Amino acid sequence: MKEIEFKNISNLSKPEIFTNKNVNLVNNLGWESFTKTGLPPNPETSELWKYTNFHNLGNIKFFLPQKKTFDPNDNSGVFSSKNFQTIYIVDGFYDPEISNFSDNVIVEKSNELSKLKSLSKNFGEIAKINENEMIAMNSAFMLDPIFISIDESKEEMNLNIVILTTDNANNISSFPRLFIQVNSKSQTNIVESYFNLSKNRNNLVVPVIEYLLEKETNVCHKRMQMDSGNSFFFQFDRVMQKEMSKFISTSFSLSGLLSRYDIHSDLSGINSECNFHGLYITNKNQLQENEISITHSVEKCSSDQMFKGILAGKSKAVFSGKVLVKQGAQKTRAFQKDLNFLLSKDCEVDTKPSLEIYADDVECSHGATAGNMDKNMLFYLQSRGINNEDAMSMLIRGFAQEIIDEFEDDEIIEFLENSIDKSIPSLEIQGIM
Amino acid sequence: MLEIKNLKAQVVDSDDLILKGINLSINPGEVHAIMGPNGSGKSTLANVLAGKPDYEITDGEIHFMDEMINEFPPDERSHLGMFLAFQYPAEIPGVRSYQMLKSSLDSKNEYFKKQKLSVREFSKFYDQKVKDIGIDTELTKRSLNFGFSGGEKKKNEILQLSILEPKLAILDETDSGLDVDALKAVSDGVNLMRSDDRSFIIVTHYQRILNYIEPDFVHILVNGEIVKSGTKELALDIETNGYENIISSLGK
Repeated sequence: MKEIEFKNISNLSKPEIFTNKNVNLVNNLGWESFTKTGLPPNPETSELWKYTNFHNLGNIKFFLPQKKTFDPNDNSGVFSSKNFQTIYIVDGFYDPEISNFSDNVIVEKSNELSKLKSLSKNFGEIAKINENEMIAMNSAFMLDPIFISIDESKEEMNLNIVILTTDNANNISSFPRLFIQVNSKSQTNIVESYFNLSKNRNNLVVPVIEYLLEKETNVCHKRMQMDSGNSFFFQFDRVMQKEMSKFISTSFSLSGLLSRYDIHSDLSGINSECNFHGLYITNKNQLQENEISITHSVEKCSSDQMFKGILAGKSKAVFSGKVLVKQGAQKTRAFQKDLNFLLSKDCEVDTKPSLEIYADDVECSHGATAGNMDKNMLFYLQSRGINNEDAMSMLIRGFAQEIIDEFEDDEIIEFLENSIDKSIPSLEIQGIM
Repeated sequence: MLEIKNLKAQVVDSDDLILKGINLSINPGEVHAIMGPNGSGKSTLANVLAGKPDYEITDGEIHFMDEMINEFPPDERSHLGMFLAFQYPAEIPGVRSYQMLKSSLDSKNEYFKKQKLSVREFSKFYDQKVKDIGIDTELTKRSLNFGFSGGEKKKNEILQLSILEPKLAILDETDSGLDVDALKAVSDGVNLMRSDDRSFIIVTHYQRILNYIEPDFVHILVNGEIVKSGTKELALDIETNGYENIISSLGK
């Protein structure tokens, strides 16, 4: 197995050669860029990684993954449903054996491109290598990039993209890479779920997913980051939206040791709309960063960011919400909000909602809050016979419920409610009452 | 049922006594009104009885259902049969009335080592009570007290009262901020709950609510002490002459 130690990048050799020339170009450029900069921090990107400490990550010897089999019928705790078509990415490799989807979905590996060959020219154009070191890292180390195209369908379309870490024996680093084109007029629910099933402590997972939304598409993006609390996880979703497209996203993050959810949409076609809503839960010594940004490139688009955080123990969370309204993007509506529930005196949230506006006819707002357990709410519940511990759990769950309900799918909601109920008892609540 | 002996209490870590030696005895089935001017300690008494952690008892005893409950947490007092209808019910995001009340009843049954109600049994019971009290079913789907009007919040308190079926219900200024219709609806809900083994404490500034919920006894609380007790005529006297007469007759 091929070993990687990110602090000694000069000793590394490029793992893969791709037959498609565009994919190969991205791979080469990624390699060039990453081997030059190495891991953050670097002067040019210091603001992006202000709160992330890469020191431990640099010192770990990782291995590139090998193909593994996964049995979806195993009772592994992975979300699956008969109502969803499913694409499995196991330890960085697409597994066509266990994936299943209907005729209006095409999935092709980058080395076997045929029908989706034309998509490859956009590969790396939405998630750009020069944006940051970790996108470059993914581009350099990806082993099995896949292309997905979704056409309009008569029936309700539910697609579940499952990204798994399963290797128990080794410190695995995997670099899932997807390019998803949603074709004109299609309406689809896309679940993007990450599960860390590995019992091994040190895993690195860096997924990069590019979305190209053609005209009049409607995507409900439902994201679940279900970490065991140990891994290094950096996810980059990059969305390009054309005219009258909608990308309505709801995210649920159980933090890893060091994790980042980084999503950006470029509203590049008029009358398009983008919502990024989400919940993050951090505990112990975990860090969850949320880098949530939207570019209003043209007029008459709207966007809404609404994140909620639950923090316990000595954990940290970052919400960095950015909205850029370019010159000429008149009649823009853009809203940002980040609300945090701090359960311990040692946890910390750094919240930075920011608006950068170069147009003059816009409606924008931003805000952030951080609060503790509310004594009056707690007493209210206790006076109804609910003990202190249960009352606290109820308030924590209640805070999360608003976002969970936005998933709008009964099976997912039930799944997330069970997950949060399981994780609440382990939250380190201290020194706040 | 409830026996309060020389109860003294203050806000935690302060030195100012708010309750300065309250004595009160309530038997099953009785309705007691506690009236008094602003700042007399009425709401403090209600909250101290329910066990709000903001207050500490510095002297005296509260006996409820044959237990000395000074140190009991609020949830245990609830299990024993105490219920506080709040003056300002908390708005609780993401928690629905149904869900809270199911937990409440489950906890109570667990405390008494009784069988919990099944979801179906509870739903039936809950739906009937919602209908009896006349609560808009749309409201019950929202987060608890969120976006409820003043009247709806108080009605919701009465719904909880009717589901938890306490031995002693303390209504803390339940009449404040209610229009006549809401006051009547709330009072009707309370009157439905009156029985030989259930007692009420009605904490109020005004006599008005006592036209609808007729008290057996009326106590006047001034400056942390019960200065006068009587029957419902005492409340009418307050309505006509205000608290000033009583306060000045105390010679303070």
